[in-house]
Amino acid sequence: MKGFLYKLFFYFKHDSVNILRSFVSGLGILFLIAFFVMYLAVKSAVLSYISGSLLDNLASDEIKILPKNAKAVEYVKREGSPGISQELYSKIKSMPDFKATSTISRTPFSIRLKGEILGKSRSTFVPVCGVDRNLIKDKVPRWQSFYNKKPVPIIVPKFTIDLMNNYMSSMENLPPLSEKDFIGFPVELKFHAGKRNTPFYKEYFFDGEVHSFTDLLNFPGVIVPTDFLAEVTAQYRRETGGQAALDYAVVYARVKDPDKLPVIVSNLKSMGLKVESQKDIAEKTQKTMGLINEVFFAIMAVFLVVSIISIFNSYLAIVYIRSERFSLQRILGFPKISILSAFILESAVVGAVYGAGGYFIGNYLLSHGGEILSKWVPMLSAVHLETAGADILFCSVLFASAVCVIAAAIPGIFASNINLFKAVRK
Amino acid sequence: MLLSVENVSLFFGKRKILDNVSLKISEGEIVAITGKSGSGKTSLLGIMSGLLDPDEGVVYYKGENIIKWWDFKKSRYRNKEIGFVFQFFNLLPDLSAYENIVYPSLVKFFPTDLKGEVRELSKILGIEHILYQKPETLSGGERQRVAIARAIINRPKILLADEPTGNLDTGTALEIKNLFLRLRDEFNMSLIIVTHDEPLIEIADRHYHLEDGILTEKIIKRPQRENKTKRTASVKKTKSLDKKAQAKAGSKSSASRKTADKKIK
Repeated sequence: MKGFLYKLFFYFKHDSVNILRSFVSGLGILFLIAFFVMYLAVKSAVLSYISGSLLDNLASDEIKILPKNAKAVEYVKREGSPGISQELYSKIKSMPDFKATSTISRTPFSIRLKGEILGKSRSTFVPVCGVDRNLIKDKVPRWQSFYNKKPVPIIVPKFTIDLMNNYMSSMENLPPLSEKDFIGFPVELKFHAGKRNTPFYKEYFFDGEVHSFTDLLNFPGVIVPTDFLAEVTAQYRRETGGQAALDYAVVYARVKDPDKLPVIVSNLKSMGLKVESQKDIAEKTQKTMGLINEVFFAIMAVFLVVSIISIFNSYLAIVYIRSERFSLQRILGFPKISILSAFILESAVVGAVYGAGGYFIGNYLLSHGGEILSKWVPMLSAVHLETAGADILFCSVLFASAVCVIAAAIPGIFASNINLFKAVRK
Repeated sequence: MLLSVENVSLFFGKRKILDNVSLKISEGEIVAITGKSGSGKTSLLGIMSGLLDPDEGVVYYKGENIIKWWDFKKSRYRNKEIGFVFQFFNLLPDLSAYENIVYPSLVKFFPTDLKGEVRELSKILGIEHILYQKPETLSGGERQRVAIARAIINRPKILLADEPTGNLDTGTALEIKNLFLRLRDEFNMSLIIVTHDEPLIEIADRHYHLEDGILTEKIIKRPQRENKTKRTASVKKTKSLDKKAQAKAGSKSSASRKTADKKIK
């Protein structure tokens, strides 16, 4: 035992410098693992965001009907943006293949949202779209009470809590209000309908209240019930005789018989519409994930190659610097495996340390970086970056060790096969 | 027969380094090998120690063909049965003399504590006062003594010395020569010495000359009677020392060697 302890002390005393050198060369592994941990978190966050999204998630018997030329869902109507007219929607609704339909509706009206605290008010233009109650069924708390009533219920993205706090509470030096505090918060909706300075221009005021907050909304605006928007636009038409101002960005339809989907899709296409099924959504998701994978893998591949070359070079330098020593070791009776195992053991230790280090750095960046990022881009607060678990720590340590061992193995083999007479023939 | 080299040939590319070389070494025998630079002396030592595999011929150690051994067994053979002494000492500069001496023992996963052994050897070799110094602070003679201590720390049966006095002055070379005699007499060690140094050739039982890869035995120039008397006396001493050493094995072995030292002196 005494001899073994001396051996340990001996190696620590004389080889610790080499380990330090290897540590410097293996720094790339640290970033590789940190990046790997972040990649896993981003991947799972994006997947859960897409699958949990309020408006982009389809059941197996559900289809998404879009205007023919729509590249993506446009929740706010701009001039010339494609939409499904009310007449076309009526046709779809009357088709016998569907058991239920629901919509995302929109108007070209500018809408101002006004809030007031302690006599001080703030108002801002916000994008507004309408959804049917059954579209948010079981996805939003108290979804049953989301219909056209007074005051008008409004669903707000979660990230706006910070904006509301900035606008309202901080103005009055109040402590930040929570999501619960803002439920039922009174607001005023002001519709600017038609072109200004024309007989078609009208302003409408409605009382509203915050119905709920959701992070399932990939839309930087607020949601009101579709029947409310329909009522406002009908009123506008009646009063001014203007054109129908409501159309639909998307129609969600539930089919009676999923086996008939190909026929239904073909019928809808013949009506000049674009149709997406669960399969299409899955393909789109896969495409998005593919892109994320490609970007991350490309970056990780660069880190991996740089790390391997760096570790390889560092160990190769050790072999050349200490070639005389290795040669002497062989002459004194150290077997090849003993020299090779020193390289492998040393690189495995370096890899394990960097694996664990990279894991903790990755997790640190996820918890703190995510927070900072969502402050810069509030919409990203809906994407939850979860820190990696202990299983990933184990994988990171194993992976980093394996990379280091692979990089150090070849120099180790060089060292163990070194010219044995190098030491003799000085 | 301890070590037997039979019809060994070695090529480096097309160049023939050793040509059908045969050599036999018994226990406690000193063999001197001379030859020009590049004549293959070191290569022959390499083959005898299992560092090099010959292209033709065999090498037997205690009846076993070492060429057939795997690397692990060859390494153990070098570690346990062979000791190396080089012209340029080949001490590791970042290790102290003590660490250099115990270095071969670190091959074992659980090395034995060699503190007592090193102390004992350092007394015999007269290096106990420099054990914790780095090689760069030592003289040539001291370095070679440390190198000898390293070579014999595992009590090998054969000591291979490659120009051991080639880098030393005459006085120190004589001391090394006397040390070699003591090693042979005390530990019954066989010595194969590659040298150009006359005093070292004189202590050899046999002298070989290597030229163009061919090994030929030479007659050692010394009075026949004197040589015989010297050898007989030294073998007698060795035998008596061996008996004592066997009787006082273990912890008492150091005491027996001290007595033996005095006798030899």
